Amino acid sequence: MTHPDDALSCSNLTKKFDSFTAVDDLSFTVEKGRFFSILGPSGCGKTTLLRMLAGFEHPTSGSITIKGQEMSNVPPNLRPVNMVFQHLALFPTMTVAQNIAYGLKRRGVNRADREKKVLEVLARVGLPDSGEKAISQLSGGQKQRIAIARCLVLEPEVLLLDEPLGALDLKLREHMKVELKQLQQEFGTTFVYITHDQSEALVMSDKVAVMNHGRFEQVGSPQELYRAPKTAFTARFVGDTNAFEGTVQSVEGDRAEIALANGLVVAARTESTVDLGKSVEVFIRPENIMLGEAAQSRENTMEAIVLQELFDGANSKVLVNCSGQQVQVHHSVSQASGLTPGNKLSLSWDWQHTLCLPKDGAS
Amino acid sequence: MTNSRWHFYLFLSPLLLWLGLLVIWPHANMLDVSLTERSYIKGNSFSLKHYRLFFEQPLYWLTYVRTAWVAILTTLMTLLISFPVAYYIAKIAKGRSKLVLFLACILPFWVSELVRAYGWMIVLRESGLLSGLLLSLGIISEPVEFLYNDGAILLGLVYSGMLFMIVPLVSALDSLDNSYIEAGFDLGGNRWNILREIVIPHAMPGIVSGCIIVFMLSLGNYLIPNLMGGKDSLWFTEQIFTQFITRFNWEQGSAFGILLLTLSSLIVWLSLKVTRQSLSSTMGQ
Amino acid sequence: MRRTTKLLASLALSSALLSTAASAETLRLLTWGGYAPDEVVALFEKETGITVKVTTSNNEDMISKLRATGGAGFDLAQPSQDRITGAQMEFGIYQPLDLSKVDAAQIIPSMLEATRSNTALEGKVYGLPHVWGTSGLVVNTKLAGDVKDYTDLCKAELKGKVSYRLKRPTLIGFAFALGEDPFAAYADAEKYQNILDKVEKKLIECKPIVKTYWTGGDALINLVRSEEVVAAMAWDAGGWKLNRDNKDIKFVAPKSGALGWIDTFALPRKSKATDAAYKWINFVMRPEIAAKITEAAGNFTASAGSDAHVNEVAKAQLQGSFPPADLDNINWYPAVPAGLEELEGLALDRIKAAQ
Repeated sequence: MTHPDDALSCSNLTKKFDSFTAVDDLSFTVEKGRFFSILGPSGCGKTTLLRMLAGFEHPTSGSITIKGQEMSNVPPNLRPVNMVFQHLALFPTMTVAQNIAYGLKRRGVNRADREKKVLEVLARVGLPDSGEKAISQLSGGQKQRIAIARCLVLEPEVLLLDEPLGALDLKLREHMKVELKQLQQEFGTTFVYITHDQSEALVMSDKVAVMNHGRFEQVGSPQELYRAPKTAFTARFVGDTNAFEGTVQSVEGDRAEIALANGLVVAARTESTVDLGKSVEVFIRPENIMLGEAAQSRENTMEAIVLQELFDGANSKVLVNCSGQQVQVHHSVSQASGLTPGNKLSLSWDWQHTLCLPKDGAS
Repeated sequence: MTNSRWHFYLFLSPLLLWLGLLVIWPHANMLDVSLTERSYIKGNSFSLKHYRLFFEQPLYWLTYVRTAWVAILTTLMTLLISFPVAYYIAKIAKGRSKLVLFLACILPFWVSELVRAYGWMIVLRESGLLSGLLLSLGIISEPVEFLYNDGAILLGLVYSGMLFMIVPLVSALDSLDNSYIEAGFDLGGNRWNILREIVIPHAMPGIVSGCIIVFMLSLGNYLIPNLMGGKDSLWFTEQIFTQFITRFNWEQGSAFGILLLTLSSLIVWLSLKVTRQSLSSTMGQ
Repeated sequence: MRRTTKLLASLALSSALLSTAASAETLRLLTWGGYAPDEVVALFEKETGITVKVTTSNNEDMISKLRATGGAGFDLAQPSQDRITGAQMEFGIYQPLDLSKVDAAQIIPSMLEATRSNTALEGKVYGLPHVWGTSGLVVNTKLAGDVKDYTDLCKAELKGKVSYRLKRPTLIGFAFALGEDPFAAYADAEKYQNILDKVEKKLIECKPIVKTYWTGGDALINLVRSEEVVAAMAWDAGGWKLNRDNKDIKFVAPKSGALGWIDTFALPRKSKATDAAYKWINFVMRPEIAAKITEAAGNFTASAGSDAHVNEVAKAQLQGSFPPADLDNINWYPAVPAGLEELEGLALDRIKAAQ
């Protein structure tokens, strides 16, 4: 069942706390050298999953296999995985070099080799002269890199990362996303990264698992998740989107017509089979909606009143009201005229860009 | 301008008064008395006689050394016993049981030290609880006296010092995030070296402040050595008490007091140097 | 304006008057436990209107307290007769008594005479006798019937079962038991030192036998009552107290003589209520009042004729412990010359330190 190229595989992994099921019968594999993210809201069970992989929690049932070896009875200090903690957990009473050397020392690496490896890894993370510094002297980004270096120097089979960017400010976080990805590619280590920030997951990962209520909703590349979400939860959680509720009026191949709650009828693409009369959700990404007269040719149209312009440079949007529902629409800077609040305008979009998915919990 | 300065001194005055009247003045006075030779006929004169006597009489400096040694031993034993207790309270016990355990440690200190010492005497005396228990279990065949020896002094001092060790230790260990311990395991550490390299260095300010307090309390304790120590209990504070109260020799007593103050300051200073802690970091805990 | 000033002035004046009146009507007594029982204090307050504030203490503590204030803070103190002149010479904490204010007829003449000579300094008298007693041996006659003298406390078969204090009465008692007369050597420091050396040797020899050096009367009574200790050096009153619970425990006057002490009345130098003090002295020396104090303290007083008012048990205990011959054999403490206590202190330190 396990493939030799798999760094990590889990089967039927379950963790229960009393009556609460944190991780519910999960089976998945992570290929060697991949950047694998687990994306989900807080409380979805992703931290519990990660702690089971590290060995800090025992699965209620199921198994974890790392590099072909079953992990049930292996304590955390003997597992070929290392973890970057949410708040990094760099030992404040040690210097940078001592922090990095801690794991090597535990493995009985001799002093000379230790010093060599520490210098090497410090150079690779771009902090060659920081060895003698105290942890408190480092900046936020430097701490990140040292925390990763401390694990990578041990050449783990899998590196687990528990939302390490959460504490950073936005600018630094954007920067560290890129840097983390580069580090991962440079070292070639398998990363398992958990986060609740979809942008982090999309930017860095080779593969993302969207997790909800202890289960994976969908596993796929960032592009797949964005373009073809398989569940309403994924559609809503990955990327920005506008959601409408409605019922199926007619189905023709992968084209369905949906009657929305506000009375309009829209055409949408559907991949799963949806039955007539069923309540569904319809998703349209803001960038797929056209504004104004030029848009009349598209299949789906709607009249709307401008509520507010949300200016954000190239990522600017306008918030409009369509028959009582708020909708976000991208607009280019050239379209900016006529967006004064209260103005009427029309929206339109292609049916191929409109996604119809069964409501959560309905299937 | 002048008004605000006036306010500043007004707020500072209780502290200044406290320092001046209750700390500096009595000590200066004690130093002065210790350097005085009292004579009814010739009047008082400056003299180092009382310090000389201390070094000339082996009894006095032997008691001095012994007191310091037992106080150090007490401190180390208190630390050894309190650390696991504090670790359990801070890191392992959860919620209500944590509170209950902490209270159980504090509770005996709601009664006076005298009562606690008598409590131990009831347990340890020849016709006491421990001796009776061992007799009824058949471990000993006739009553044994556990009181009136150095072990009893040590026991009493460790017991009275425990609280002052546990409180700073618990607060120091409480502030150690569990993720540091987990990180230690994750990087391949075992319990022992995580304790040595992560937990103890982190708790060091708490350890040192607990040790300083317990050492001071033991060194200056009068009641426990006196009540539980018996005929061989030589304790330096007893010597001071004897000089002041039964001999009326305030000059000698003051000299002993100054010497004890010097000793405790010296040992505290040395232990801070050895553990590379500063007084401000440990007392700021 | 002027009226307010007047009012304030009169207020200040009257409060000053009131406060002096109050202090004149208060007697601050520095004494031993049992010497001023509540019942007696209440009777005195009722009769004279003077409030009595009692502070209980012991010889060393009294001297320390009065020394610290130069003889202020108390109006009447009760040190033992042998501890007055030494302290007075060194610290000047007392004032001479005006014997004309004392009703001498109430006091046993021999005791009055004894304290008069023992507490005199430059022709002035500093102490009047109040309570007297002895220290000797408390023996559990069933378990250690053959303890007859202080030195018997060192018998090997009593190992771990005897106790005494490490204070000057022990030195004196052992000196008598060893055949010396320490009181005769008081004036001769060298001779006294020789006696002390002898006693020191004996007490060091005796150290393995002793269970513990007792420090408080209650602790000793506990040890003897539980039979952990079968023979001890103690005060007669303690022995009698124990005897009431256990007939086997008796106060025994040692062969070499019990040591007799007399606690006195002495006036601190800065006493603020000397009149009240004399009133108190005359009051408590009345036979029926003195008998109440005997019941509370356990010891007899120097009040003439108070025996008649004391209960039968106490009388029987006194006669049991002191057959007439033993009563004559009591060694009364003479006044301690200054400097002697330093010699004794060093000897006691050496005994304590000996292993």
